[in-house]
Amino acid sequence: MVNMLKMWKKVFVVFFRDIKSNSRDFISIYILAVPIIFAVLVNLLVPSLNETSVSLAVVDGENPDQQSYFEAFAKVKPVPDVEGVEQIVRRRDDVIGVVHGDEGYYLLRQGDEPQFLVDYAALVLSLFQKNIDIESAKVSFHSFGNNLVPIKKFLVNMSLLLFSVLGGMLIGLNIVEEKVDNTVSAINLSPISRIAFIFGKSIIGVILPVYGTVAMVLIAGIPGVNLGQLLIMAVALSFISIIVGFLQGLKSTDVMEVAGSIKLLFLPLGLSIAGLEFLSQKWQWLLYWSPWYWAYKANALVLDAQDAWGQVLMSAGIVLAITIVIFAAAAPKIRRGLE
Amino acid sequence: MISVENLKHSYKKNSTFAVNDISFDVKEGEIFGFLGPSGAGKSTTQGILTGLLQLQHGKVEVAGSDVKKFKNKMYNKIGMSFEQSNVYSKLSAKENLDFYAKLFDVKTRSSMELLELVGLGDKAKIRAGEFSKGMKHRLTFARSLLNNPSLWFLDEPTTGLDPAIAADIKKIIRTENQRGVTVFLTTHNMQIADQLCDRVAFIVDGQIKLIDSPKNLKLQYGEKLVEVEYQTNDGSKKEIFSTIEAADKKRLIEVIDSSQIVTMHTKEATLEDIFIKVTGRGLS
Ligand SMILES: Nc1ncnc2c1ncn2[C@@H]1O[C@H](COP(=O)(O)OP(=O)(O)OP(=O)(O)O)[C@@H](O)[C@H]1O
Ligand SMILES: [Mg+2]
Repeated sequence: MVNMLKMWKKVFVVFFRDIKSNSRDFISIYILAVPIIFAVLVNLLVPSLNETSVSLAVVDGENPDQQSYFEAFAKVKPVPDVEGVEQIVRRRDDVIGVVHGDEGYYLLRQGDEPQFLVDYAALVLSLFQKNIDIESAKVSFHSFGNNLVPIKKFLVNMSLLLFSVLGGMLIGLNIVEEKVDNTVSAINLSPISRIAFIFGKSIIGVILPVYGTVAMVLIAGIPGVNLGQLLIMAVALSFISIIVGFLQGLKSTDVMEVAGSIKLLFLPLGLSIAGLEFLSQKWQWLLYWSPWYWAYKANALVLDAQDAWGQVLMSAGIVLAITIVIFAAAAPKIRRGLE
Repeated sequence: MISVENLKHSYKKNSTFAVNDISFDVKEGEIFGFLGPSGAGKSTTQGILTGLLQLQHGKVEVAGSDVKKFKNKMYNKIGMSFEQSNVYSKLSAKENLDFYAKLFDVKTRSSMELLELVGLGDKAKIRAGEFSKGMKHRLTFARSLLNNPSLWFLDEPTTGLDPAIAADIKKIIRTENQRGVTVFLTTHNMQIADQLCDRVAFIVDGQIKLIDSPKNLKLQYGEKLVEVEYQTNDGSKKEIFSTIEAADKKRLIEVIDSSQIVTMHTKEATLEDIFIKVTGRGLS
């Protein structure tokens, strides 16, 4: 018990030393800042889109019931007349007009609006026309689910996977620091056990994706997302990057070499994402080996604000199983490398 | 404190041995000098004694434990000053010591006190990466004292330091030894060894040629020596001859007869002379 406590104290001594070193190194600072930068970028490039941020232009006062019904689901822009609606729609931003024509109301659009916006507007309009009251309409909207712009969902999900790789990269850099300064020999002649040292060096590999996930959710704004589920995936996925970070750090002799070799992880990562997005269901099994495939799949469900527990737990389990296999192959190399 | 029997070590795990069948003991409280030219196997031996290198062949006991069964706890009792300084460049001198101190389970000495001791007191907040080679070396040396080791390994503690600082280091080693610390000192500086060591081992090509106290060695080899520099076909050559040993005397006469003498001095035997005479090798 006392020994365990002592060990964990030393684990954190190693971790905080790494952080101190990282805070004095440009590349490390940059890596640590990436989650914030990405989250801000996602936020700026793709503004959050939920129920109230679809904009509909209507002729003010023409159909007050419809207007107030729309207000429950979208941003309503009342304008004096049909010409006004046309003008607004013709502007570059994605506003869809709802105007009265010969055969009742129809959608007025410019043509370059994303399809899902049009679908959304059409859905709101038809809900009103079918006399569905606002409360039950909201229920049906909830199961319609897709309240995140697909491109944003994609960017967020990809970033989450990327953060775990960054954790590995940082570990690699920290190992290279020990190698360049030749300090492992001093560590080996101190009473810290090798396992405590390895744990200490690994912590950042878990912390970085966890903090990245939180930053992304907070800054980029993802309505209705279950943060706990994303974090489970982030932690499960981090171990592989940690192992790869150690291996690459031990193999490399300088910072650039680490950055270069960790980049190799982007290939299977990108492949997994592309596969999931573009391969038909029939061929998805081709990607079952990839931990990133499973993580991306689970995250996508979570980002859809759907009931994702089943997928999250299954994906996490599969990722951990893959991790164990990789660990079994890598552990002897890591141990030898640190001698 | 240390007992070594038939130690062998081959880096390539073949029949070329960096250390080839050596045996010796280090007694508690003594300063034991491990002397030899570059590549003799000094650091290799030290690496095995400290558990840094795996024992391949032989029996080695250090501070009451078989090195094969070394526990991490052992390192609370051991200090090691490395030949090549190894400190974190991105941490200041004091941060380096503070970090290392936290790895021990025993009471440690104050970082500032140790920095003062090695003359780095005013450099405590400067990053080690900005240090000169000698300063890094002193920092590495200071670090080895953090845990008040009872067994202290020193690999070339004064190499590359200016004479004044080397003298300080020597003083520190002596003080620690007087407090009861056993010292295993590796060096090819014969002067330091002569002044500090209770006993020395001469090691050449992975083998120990002799173990004795400097005092005994000087008594034994304390005769007058003649150092002769003479001209040969390929330049001048220096050789030391005993004026007592018959073989040496004969050879000296030969040299005087057949060669042109450049210089000729008599001298008191130094540890270095004795090393050369015993091993037939220079130290550098
Ligand atoms: N890591 C290594 N791998 C292979 N050979 C090595 C290694 N380290 C040392 N050697 C070889 O082992 C022999 C002994 O080296 P060692 O470092 O023990 O010498 P030393 O007596 O400490 O020399 P110095 O005075 O230069 O420090 C040398 O021939 C050296 O080339
Ligand atoms: Mg050496």
